[in-house]
Amino acid sequence: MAETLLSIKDLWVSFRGRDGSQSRALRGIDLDVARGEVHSLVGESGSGKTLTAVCVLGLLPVPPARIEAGSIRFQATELIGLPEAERRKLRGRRIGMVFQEPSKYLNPAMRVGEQIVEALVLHLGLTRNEARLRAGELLELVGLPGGRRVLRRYPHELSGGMRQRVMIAMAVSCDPVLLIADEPTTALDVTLQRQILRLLLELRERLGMAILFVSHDLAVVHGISERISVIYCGKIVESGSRERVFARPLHPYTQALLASIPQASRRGTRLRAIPGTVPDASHVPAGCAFHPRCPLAVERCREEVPRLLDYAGNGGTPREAAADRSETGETHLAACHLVGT
Amino acid sequence: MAGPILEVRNLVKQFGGSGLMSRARAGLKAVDGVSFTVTAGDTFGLVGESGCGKTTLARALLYLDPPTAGEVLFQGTALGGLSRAGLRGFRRHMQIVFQDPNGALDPKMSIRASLAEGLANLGVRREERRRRTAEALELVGIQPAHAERYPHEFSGGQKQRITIARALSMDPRLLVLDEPVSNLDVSIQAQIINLLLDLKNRLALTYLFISHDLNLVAYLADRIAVMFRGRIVELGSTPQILSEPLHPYTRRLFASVPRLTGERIVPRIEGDGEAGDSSRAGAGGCRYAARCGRWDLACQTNDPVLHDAGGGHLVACLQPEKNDQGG
Repeated sequence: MAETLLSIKDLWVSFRGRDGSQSRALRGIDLDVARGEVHSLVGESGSGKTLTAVCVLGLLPVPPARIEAGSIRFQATELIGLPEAERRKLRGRRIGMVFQEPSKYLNPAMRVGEQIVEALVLHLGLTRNEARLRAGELLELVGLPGGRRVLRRYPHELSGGMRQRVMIAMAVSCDPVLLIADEPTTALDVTLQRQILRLLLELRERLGMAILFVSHDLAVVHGISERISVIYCGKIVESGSRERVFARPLHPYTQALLASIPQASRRGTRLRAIPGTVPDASHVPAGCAFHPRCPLAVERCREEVPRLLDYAGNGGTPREAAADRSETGETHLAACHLVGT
Repeated sequence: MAGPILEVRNLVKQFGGSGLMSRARAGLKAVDGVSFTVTAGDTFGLVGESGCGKTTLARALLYLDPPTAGEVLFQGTALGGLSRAGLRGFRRHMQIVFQDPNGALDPKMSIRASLAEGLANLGVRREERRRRTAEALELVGIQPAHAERYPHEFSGGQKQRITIARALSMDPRLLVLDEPVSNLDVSIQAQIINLLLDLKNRLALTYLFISHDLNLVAYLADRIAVMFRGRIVELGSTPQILSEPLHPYTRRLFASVPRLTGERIVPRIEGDGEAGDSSRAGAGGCRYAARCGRWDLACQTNDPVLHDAGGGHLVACLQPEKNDQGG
């Protein structure tokens, strides 16, 4: 087990509505990303997966949002409470980011090359000439050969796949140790999606960076991750290696999600749908937030919030989740009263 | 054996072609000679990537945007020859459900009003309208008591149920479902898919199911047509398409689709080129030539037509894959 790069502990975030109402968007997130691993954070819309990424990047809008409690350690640095100037140095330098819709983050009035050069001058202190050379190299690195020509183009002159490659080039331009990729392929067709996923995995190997991959798509996550954490209503409900989570999911929510995905091999059978809808952050059910939709729920689930415990040990007896995964080796965490019963 | 409910023959939908501004796009055929037949009671899947023309095809065959050329027969009647009133009478039997229920429901109208509108246009009387809207809502699992509510009071999944109810209230034989679950969360998608399966059985419906999601189409459809740049490049029964895809594009789609089973994705920098090698494509040649792994000179000059490769499995390729050759 490699050293822990990013460690989120018991992170609570709330939003205050205009009417004064309070909603708990994150309810004690625990998440570790080890150096060099692809760790996927999977959840439905409104689950808090993007919000978790936003907190790591230090881009949380405060107010209306408020970090109520918790810690985010990146290498040796505590990010919560870090002055904005320090945050900015980390962001884009030690921590890169890629989003779903690159056109939103690229300046439409500026040639692609200028934008990359600007970032390099700002973050790495290169001269413009050095930066220009490096920009060409970066575009080659992300599979845009003839990078020079691409540098002179405006974002709208590029296809969706090329724009995403440019975005990735900018994200890795400063050689980050952590790349946060939030649904980076969701807007792309499947053939392009696969190409971008392959690119991210190759860059991970070459640059030795870890990737926190935020996604709603379990099938995509299956193809790329070492570790998977499943988030529901602002809380991690399960976390384990790709092999464990897909072969032996522990949480009823993970099990139900996997069973609800249509596959050719399930032709002629009904899908196992999850009843109801994802609760709103201002109306999170008491006890286990999943209990109203859970086929197995008992009295205890309605009353007591289950803790995230480790079931990787022999015989499935739960143990406390270790403070640091690197000390215990394999872990398989779940927050459910019913695991092993 | 059931007969055809829908026959589409050489359908063409062309945009632009006149006027100063449209010169650049003049002659752009979004749908370029598409033919297929949907058997009554089947689910016919139409799969393709964005921009392949699948939504344009759906709108053209329903005469929402009338086709530029070609013929559409619904239960044996050519829709092109009908008057406007005649078309309206037929269209109630062929309803469409879109991807985005927000665009399909008027936010200022109660659910009941939204559902009643189409029936009123058909001249259905008030009492009958009430009965049919209530019935349709019940069919999709929405309490008829909630019919006075407005769209914003419902979740995305419920709104999609309501647009399905509206289609059902018209008493359709054929439902065209254009990416009906693509905007929904995974846990809600399965609810809607199960609902569609139930409704099909209960009401003896036929589905034309349009999607970019090959897993979903393979799960639902009896027959599958694969569309690429305005053409159907392969068409067959689902087992035929799944077990022996013949067109290189179909194979590529299958290889790209993320699956819950299967191997880890192999790292690689280079893409296969979105545009491909344009020197391989000729004006009259195959439109997949630039990206094709099985290209040869003949593909540059010959435009392959959809032909039977055996057992009713159609493919438009000069050198279709053989099952033993692998992808």
